[in-house]
Formats: sequence, C-alpha cells, structure tokens
Amino acid sequence: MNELALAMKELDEDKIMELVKSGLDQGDSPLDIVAALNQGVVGVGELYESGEYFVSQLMFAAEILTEVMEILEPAMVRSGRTESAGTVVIGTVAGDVHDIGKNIVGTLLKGSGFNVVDLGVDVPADKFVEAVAEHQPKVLGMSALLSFTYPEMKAVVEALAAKGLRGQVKVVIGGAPVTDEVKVYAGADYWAPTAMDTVSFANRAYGK
Amino acid sequence: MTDPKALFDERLGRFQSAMALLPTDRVPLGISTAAPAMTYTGINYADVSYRPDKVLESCLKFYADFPEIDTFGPPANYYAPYYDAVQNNSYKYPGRDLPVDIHFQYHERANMKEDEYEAFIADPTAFLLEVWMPRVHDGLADRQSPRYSLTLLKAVYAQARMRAEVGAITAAMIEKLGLPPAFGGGCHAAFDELSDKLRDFKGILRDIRKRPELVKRACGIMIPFEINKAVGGDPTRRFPPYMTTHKPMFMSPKEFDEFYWPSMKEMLLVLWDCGVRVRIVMEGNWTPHIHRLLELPKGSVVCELDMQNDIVKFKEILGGYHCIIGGLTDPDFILTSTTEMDEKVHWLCETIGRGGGFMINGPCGIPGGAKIENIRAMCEAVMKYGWYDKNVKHIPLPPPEKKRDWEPLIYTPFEEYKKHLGGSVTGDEEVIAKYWNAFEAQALAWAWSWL
Repeated sequence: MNELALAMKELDEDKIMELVKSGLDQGDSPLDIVAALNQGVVGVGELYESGEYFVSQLMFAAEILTEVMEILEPAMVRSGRTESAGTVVIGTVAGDVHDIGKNIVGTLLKGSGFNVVDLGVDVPADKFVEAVAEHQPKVLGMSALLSFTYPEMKAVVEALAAKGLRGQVKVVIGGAPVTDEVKVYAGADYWAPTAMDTVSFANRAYGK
Repeated sequence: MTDPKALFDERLGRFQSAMALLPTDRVPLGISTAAPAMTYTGINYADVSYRPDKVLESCLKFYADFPEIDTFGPPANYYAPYYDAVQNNSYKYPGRDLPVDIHFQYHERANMKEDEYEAFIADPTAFLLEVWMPRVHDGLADRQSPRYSLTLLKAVYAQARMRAEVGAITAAMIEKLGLPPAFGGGCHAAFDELSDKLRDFKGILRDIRKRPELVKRACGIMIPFEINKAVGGDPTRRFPPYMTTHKPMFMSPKEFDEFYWPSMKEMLLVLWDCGVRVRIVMEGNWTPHIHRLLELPKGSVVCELDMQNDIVKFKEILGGYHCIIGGLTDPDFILTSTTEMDEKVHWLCETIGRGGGFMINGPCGIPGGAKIENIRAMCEAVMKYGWYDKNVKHIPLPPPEKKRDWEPLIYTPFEEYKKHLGGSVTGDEEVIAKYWNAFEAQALAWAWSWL
C-alpha cells in the first residue's frame, strides 16, 4: 500500500489532499491516484468489517473522497482515460428526502471504481426505470430512512418487471427500516445491512 | 372500569412503576406516536401538521377502541404553523412542501460555520438569536426589514398557540379517556444539537478531528440550556421529557466516549438530582454504547429502542437497572401476519419482559402504515402473555425524589436592570424582581426552544 492508500485508510484528510495535489502537479496519472485511493477505501472497508471503524469513519471516508474527486475528475476528463468497474444506479425512493446513507454508498462505490448514476432523493419509480433503461447497470440500489417507503420499493421492482428490465439488473435495498423481510416483500435481490455490503454486492454482480 | 380518572390513575401508575422498575400487573403498552391513530381514522400527515382538531378527534377514536394501550404520543413535533410563522427553511412539511401523506422531514445543514465556535461558546444565547435564527428562519433574514420584528412577534404567539393546542389534546385525552402522555416536553444531548442544528454531521466529522477541544467546549456550554428545557417540560414531573438521540448510531465507542457521552451524562445526572427521569429515544443502533448507561443511577432514565438495537443485549446488560421500551419493528406492523405479531409479543413478554422494567412499543413508536389488525394483535397478545400479577393495583406514584431545585436560566438578571434604574427602586424590589426574572426566564426558554 503506497503512502496515499495508507493516508486514505487512516482517513488523514490533510495528507490525502496534499498527496493528490502534489501527484497531479508531478504528472501522475489520475487513474493511478484513483487506484491508490481505491486501495485505501478497501482498507477502510476491512477496518469497518473488523469493528475498528464505525459508520462515522465510512461517512468521513465518503466526505474525503467527494472532495478529492472534485479535484481528480477534471484531470481524468483531460487525460481522456476512463475505466470503470461497472455502472450502479442509486437513489432514495419517492417520498423520502434523506440522503446520508445513499451518499455514503455512492461515494464508496465511486471509490471502488464504479460509475455511479445518483438519481438523488424522492425518486419516483419511473425515474429508476428510465435510468436502468438508459445506463444498463447490473446493479440498482434503493435507499430509504422511512418505513412507509416499503410499497415504493416494491413498486420500483414491479415497474422494472413491467418494462422487461428486471432480468438484467440486480436490485439492492438498504437503510434504517430495511430488513430481510422488506427485501422479500419488495422483491429485491439483496438487503445491504451496511454501505460496505452494497459495495461487495456490486463487486459480485460485476464478477469481481 | 370506565371512569377516565380511575383509568388515568391506573395507567399512569403502571407506566411510572415500569419506569421505576417496580412491580406492575402486566407489561405496559408504552405507545409514543400519533401515527396509529392517523392510520385508523384515515387522516393524513398534513392533517396532523395543520389540523389539531382532527388530531384530537382521531386520537379519541383510536385510543377509545384500543383501551389496552397505556400511553399516547402528543403530536408536538408535527405542529407546522409554528414553523410557518418564522418561515423555517430546515423542515419540510406535508401539505406544504411534501405530499400530504408523507411524514415531515428535516434537512440537515451547517447553520454555524467552522470558525464560529468561539462566538457560540462566548455567548450561546446571543449567537442563537443573532446568527442562527436568521439563517434558519427566512422571516428573520433581514434585521432592517419590518418583517424581522413582525416575525419575532409571530414566533412568540405561534409558540403560545402551539402549546395551547397541543396541550388541549393532552388535556382532552386525560379527561375523556384517562390516557397519560408518553412524555412531557423534550430536550436533546448537546452533541446532537451541535451536529443536527448547528454544524451538520459532515461538519462535525471534520471538527472532531480538527478542533476537538472546541467541540467539547461547545457541548459543555449547552448543558444548562438543555437541562432548562427538560425541567420546563412537565413541572409536575409525572411524564418524562423525551430525549431523541440521533448520532450515537454512527459513532465508534471511542468517539462516543470522548465527544457525545460526557455532556450527556452530566446533563442526565443533574436532571436526576432535580427529580427528572428522562426517556431516551435510542435511534439506530446504540448497542455499542449500552454499558455507559450503567454509569447513571439505577432507574434514572428509560431506554426506548429503535429496531436496529439488540434488545436481548440491552436486557442482558440493563435489565433490572433501567426500564426498556420497544421490541417491535416496522415490518412487524407493516408486513407480517397477526399470527407472527402474536408470536413476537409472546416472545417479548417471556424474555425481555421477564422480571419487569419493560414496556412494549414499536421502534420509537408505531410506524405510519401499520396494519390495524397487527396493532389489535399486539394489544391482544399483551393481554394474553403480558401478565405478571393481576393482584397488583396501580395508583400514581410520587415523582422521583428531588435532591436540588433548578433555577430557570435567565439572560439578564434583575440586578442588571436595577443598575439600569440607578441602583434602587422606590417600592417592593422583590415583587418587581419576581416579574422581571420570570419574563426573562420565559424569553430565554423561548429562544432555546427553537434549537
């Protein structure tokens, strides 16, 4: 693990920013920088799974990555090189405007090399369906904080089926009121108890 | 027995006994939200936010038909006109910004900048009034505009009206159905106030790394103000203030122990000395932090659990030390069958309920969208499996013993006013001071109620 990956794993924000900026100044490839950050994010995930890190550390990792990607994305566009681990569409379902969980998932997915299409909050079923048709992801993630959204998750799964898209996308759901019973009720493929579980699920869906 | 007064005494006594870890006749049904009444009577969240008359009608109907329930949740947080009066920009309300059948939602945002800690710590009330209020309430955004003064006036009237209207619901529920409220007033842990309302969680995640001492000082400075809120909630001290906790679910034990717990513990210890037992609403998963609650005096708090908490672990560690409320999940109410509900309540009564100190509730309340037949099944199951001793007869208990009094906080004491008057008054100084200080206390409580 190089210095940047280690700084990411240790969530040393100042050091990360300094290393990313100096790396770009020295002409390092933005993709190599992202790869090091990814390695650090995997380390964060391992520490989370071992119980050393908690959700707050995942959230902070997501915050740091958001900040770093603002610097890296223009450089990546300039370099004209993009590689992606795959596409994941995410959103908070209709009626719910909470985004903490969704944002953590989105950033950690980006940190793991995925192209993330974030539909935002309060997303109606037809928006999810349109995004799946347009971006052809293998994974669709739905987030919720409020329990009245159970029928909405089910509605999205049904809408995908009605458009003939259900077979091509795995549906993962997560958020405070979501349980395995909700997964069964909604007809989703997977319930992610934590943000890292969504990343692992996406990796599996893309055969990694 | 249908006399509301007798029912009230019995239910209140049962509720208080469970909180005090004393024997009860059965497991109480400690319900704390208005949502089941809404579902039952078909009113929506916009009605709950704007139509207290409909809320009362709905609650009277629901709770009359479910007489097994021992407490109800006053809809204080739902009263949207209060927030309209000041043009609050942080809450989204059904019927205003959200569809009518959606629960109100809070949008977290940094309303205090990272370099404003010193100003907040130096004079938190001044910061609240002069900096925070205008940022959060569009009606107060421009001090030069007449809207500013008018909005302040409206805010005072709106609060008085909210108290009167929500208070009338509580009074009617007691008088007509003999049903006590699940809580009286509310307060927050200082770290939650700092995180939810002032810095937002993204900000606080950086602050605990970059300016940890300022975070601790800011939490410390808020303790008396939060105590002030809690003590002011129910002067009779029959109903516990409600302390909803938001951030422990995200925090590692190390972070919790360093930043969250010290100010919360200090606050709870003072409140217990003042004879106030707090109903802590443990949102998300508090399980990694449970053992800290053993640092508080036995029975000094009540732990209301969200569905992510490991209730078995809570029972194992806190059983017989603090009362536990909860046990049922959102899917138990929304998705499962009545048979599954019956089995779950049976299990709860046999395990978590063993030895008392337990009340059944949903995860911090029964959710919107709960199946009525499942609520019925919950009540019936408690009547089947929840009995300890039918010979126990409940009457209201005296409030917890008080070791000290709490003087309401004031911003400018009478002595300052006396100096302003030239150092003396011609008449009865005591009576003038009494009114001065009473209005000061009311004004300060009003200011802090907005946070």
